[in-house]
Amino acid sequence: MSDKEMVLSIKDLKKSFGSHEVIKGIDLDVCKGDVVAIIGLSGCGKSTFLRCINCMETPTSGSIVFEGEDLVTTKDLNLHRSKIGMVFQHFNLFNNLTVLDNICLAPLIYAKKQIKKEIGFWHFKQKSLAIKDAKKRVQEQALDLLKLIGLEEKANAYPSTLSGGQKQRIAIVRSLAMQPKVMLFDEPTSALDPEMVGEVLELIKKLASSGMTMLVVTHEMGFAKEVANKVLFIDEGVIKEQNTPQEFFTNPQNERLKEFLSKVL
Amino acid sequence: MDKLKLLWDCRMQFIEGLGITLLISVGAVIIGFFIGVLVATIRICPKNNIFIKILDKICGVYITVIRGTPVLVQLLIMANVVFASLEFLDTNIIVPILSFGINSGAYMAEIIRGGIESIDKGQMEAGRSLGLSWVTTMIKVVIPQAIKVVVPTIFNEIIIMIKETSIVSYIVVLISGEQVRDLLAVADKQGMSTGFYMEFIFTAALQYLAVVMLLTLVQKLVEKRFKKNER
Ligand SMILES: Nc1ncnc2c1ncn2[C@@H]1O[C@H](COP(=O)(O)OP(=O)(O)OP(=O)(O)O)[C@@H](O)[C@H]1O
Ligand SMILES: [Mg+2]
Repeated sequence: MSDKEMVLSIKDLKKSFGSHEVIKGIDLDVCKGDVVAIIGLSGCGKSTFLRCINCMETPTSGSIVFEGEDLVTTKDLNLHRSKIGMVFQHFNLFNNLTVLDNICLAPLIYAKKQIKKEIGFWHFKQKSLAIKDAKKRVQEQALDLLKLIGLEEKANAYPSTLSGGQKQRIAIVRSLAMQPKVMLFDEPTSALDPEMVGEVLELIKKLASSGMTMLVVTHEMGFAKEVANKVLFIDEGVIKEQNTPQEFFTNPQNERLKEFLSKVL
Repeated sequence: MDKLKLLWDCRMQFIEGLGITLLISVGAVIIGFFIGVLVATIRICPKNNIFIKILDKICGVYITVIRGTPVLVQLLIMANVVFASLEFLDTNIIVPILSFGINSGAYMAEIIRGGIESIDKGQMEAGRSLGLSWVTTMIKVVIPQAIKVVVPTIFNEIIIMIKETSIVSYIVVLISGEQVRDLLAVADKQGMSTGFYMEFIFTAALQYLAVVMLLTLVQKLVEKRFKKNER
């Protein structure tokens, strides 16, 4: 594993809310293709840790190196963030946009930015042609992504008309449309009705086997066992244990982890 | 029938009065909306530098003071303190426009801020996580959703303000010693001089009512337009 390309390198990450220190120093290296499952008791800071990775929460100290730059200090956080997909517990599809526009919004804005930079401000004609081109390309890509999850007929629907499972799968491909290098999932199935959990986990599995690097906060132990190649147990603001899923679940060392597993398994 | 003829004979005065009322209202709405958007923007944007923080505090004080004092008092202060020395201006119109505009701005700011804050935080987070800037996410995602929430309340505020402008006629002396001749003032004066006071006041009431009903119609149209997307 050591010869693999490093995607994320987190060093001594700390995060406090006021005087309440939630993350008390986490180090983690994530290599290309890694699937890291993160488990822990409710309120232990799993979401906070995940949200620090793309600086949705600004870490109090520490560093997060991604694409050779420290996200905590980088000047172009937005650009780097666009390469880190994030999937939320409550989907967070844009309610004012159709499914297709949800997927196209960010890629289109980035494509336009690129075009403006390349062609320059004054070549209006050339620019509008290029933008039209980009729009077509982005929309085709979005439709392909929708086909991948079998929801192409929902392209022009609004999120309010979709089921939870459909929303979450669309939220996942919305992130994919930016061609991220790594994906962060924060309890992607916790807000779903039981019958819809399967379809979403299926899609995440498909992504994992296609080589996507990902960190997944989850309460689905079966999923962690089956899909992850590394499982972390976060407790009291630090990683108390990390191991391969086999070792982690069959031979836990930490007392708190043993207790936790005896409750959830 | 005499009464109707009498009222009809005063139509030019009524039109002028209504004109003044509308002029004050429209001017105040424009100023109020502009202030409202500006103040709301300052209040909701990320407070990442000291300059914004100071502006935010100032806006907070502005809202507290304006909402905490009667608009009549604000009018009197504006007329007798702020504009007391500017005799060359037609202060009879400018004072009410500014007073009601500044007053309305505080309410509009709170309405707009409330509307934007009512939109689920997850919408902004999703936008930011995709690499969009705060401004882009605001414009493309949050504001379009907030507009729908805010439109009825904004219209409500405008309607309240239009009716409230009628108090200017009772501040007889602003500075120049002349009354502001808005709709109610005209009705009041003509009613007094002809001896048919109630008839003239009712006529004014009908005109206020007509304006408000017209505005309600516009509100329905605007709401329909913004409802079109989203099922
Ligand atoms: N924005 C915030 N401001 C203040 N405190 C916060 C904030 N976000 C999280 N916390 C606190 O940080 C701690 C960890 O919260 P976090 O949401 O990361 O836990 P979690 O492990 O994701 O829990 P869950 O399993 O319930 O999702 C909690 O005690 C919470 O109250
Ligand atoms: Mg959480």
